[in-house]
Amino acid sequence: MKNENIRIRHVIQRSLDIVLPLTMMYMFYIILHGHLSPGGGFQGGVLVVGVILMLYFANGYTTTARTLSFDLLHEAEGVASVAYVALAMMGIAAGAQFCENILYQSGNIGDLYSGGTIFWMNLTVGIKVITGIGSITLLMLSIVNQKN
Amino acid sequence: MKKFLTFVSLAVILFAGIMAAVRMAQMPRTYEGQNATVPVVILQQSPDSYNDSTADGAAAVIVQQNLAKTHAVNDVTSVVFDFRGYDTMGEAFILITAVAGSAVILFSKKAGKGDKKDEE
Repeated sequence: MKNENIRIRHVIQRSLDIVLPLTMMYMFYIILHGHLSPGGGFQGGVLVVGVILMLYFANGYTTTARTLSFDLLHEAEGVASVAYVALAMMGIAAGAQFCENILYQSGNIGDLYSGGTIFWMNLTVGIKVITGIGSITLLMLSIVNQKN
Repeated sequence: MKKFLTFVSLAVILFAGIMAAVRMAQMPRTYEGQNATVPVVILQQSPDSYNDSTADGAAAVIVQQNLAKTHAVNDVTSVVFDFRGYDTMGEAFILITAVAGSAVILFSKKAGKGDKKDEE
């Protein structure tokens, strides 16, 4: 029984080497193409739950907690939210309204980098959702795996 | 004194909200819905049949001037991050509140502080 479990775990680990990079690439694709196709920061960032749960199922809790720390994720979320507010305040600094798109002429229509502040705000919201949802998932995993 | 200040601030917020609601009810409508003559089924089968030249109000700005104003192809993203960026900021700050709240609850449970009284 014990040997069978170990073999299943090895199969999961080897298949994770293929699936995990593809999942993370898909996540960043959805975030970066938010202004060109359906999706965006919120929708792409939630995919990080799948990444963390796959890491947990394959490698166990101790490896996951060693790879991703809750404090680092929480601080990165704060940095991303400050960056969002700073990007929104750039409109006031340029003499326009809050959240005014002052960089909109950078890049051609349809390119990956176009839309000015829309692109950067999308990226900050994506980082924010990745770190926020990831830290909540890590917290719940730590509660499940606590030793009484 | 603290209670008094709380009640005063709540009353001010309530009064301002009622005044804003009355003002908004007196304003003219931005969209009458008169130009929505194409049924949804026909629109889904042939999107070219949608006549966006007769859009009025805020819809006209988003439909007709989106590419000129934002250079973003996806209209929904330009609404979420440009026209209503302030709304998205509050929406994103909900996440920090959620993380902080669940951290408070779950860390107290992890340390065994919160559930001692419940067990006994």
